[in-house]
Amino acid sequence: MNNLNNTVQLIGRLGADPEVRTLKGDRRYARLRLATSDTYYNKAGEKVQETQWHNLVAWGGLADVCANHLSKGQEIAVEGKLGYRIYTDKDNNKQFITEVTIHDLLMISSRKAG
Amino acid sequence: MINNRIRRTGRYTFASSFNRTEYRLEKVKLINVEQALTGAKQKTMKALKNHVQLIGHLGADPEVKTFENGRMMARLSLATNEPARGKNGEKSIRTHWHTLVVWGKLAEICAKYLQKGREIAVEGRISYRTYTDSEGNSRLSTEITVNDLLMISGKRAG
Repeated sequence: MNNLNNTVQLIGRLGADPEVRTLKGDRRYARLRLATSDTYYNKAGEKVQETQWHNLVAWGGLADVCANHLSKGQEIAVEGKLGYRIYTDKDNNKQFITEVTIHDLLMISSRKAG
Repeated sequence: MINNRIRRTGRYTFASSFNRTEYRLEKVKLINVEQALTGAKQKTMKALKNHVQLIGHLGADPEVKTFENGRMMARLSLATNEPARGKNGEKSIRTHWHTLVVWGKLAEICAKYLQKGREIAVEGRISYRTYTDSEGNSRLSTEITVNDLLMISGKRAG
């Protein structure tokens, strides 16, 4: 749902193909890994490139769009909301995860060559 | 492009016997404009690529730290609420707690004017950081680096 008090916009490239899963009741979701890069100059005046990896989640029809049209290297723009979740991993440890639940997606360019 | 234009105007000004200092001044001015433009472009590009806007209440007073070089940092905890449905379809509210990091002048403002319960709007970007917890596990923490901050209302009653 579009939310005015929690909005995220990201533009970047996918680091992997979308991972699509189906839950009970035919609810489908797709998980994406998106990289945004950031360059800045440090104290010594050197150019530093910093990459942030975001976890994106798309539900319903958008998950189908992701599954059918997106692949690794594709550049996309997304809008969504920021959320946090706790889950238990296979070693029974509690893990905190940050996810951006997207509700709008735009494909910017075709797949990067190579 | 601007450089080409300078060269062209340069030749033109010399041809029409303008004096040399005037030409130099013009060149300096143009270079400054060019630098300002690239700076502005970089800033907006960053904001476009990784942009977060949040509106919510503070869950605690700001945690302020001053570094040796005099730089200030404030850490805020912000709650955003969204409507949700429970398993049986009943209405509920889901709260997400965001960690905000504010630097410099803005951190001073935070320290001075913000307190628990205050409603604020912020604009910034998501950044992730790995740290080691007390048990030696490496964990990923998510922080919102704040670029802009707006105080919306006074302290919430209660």
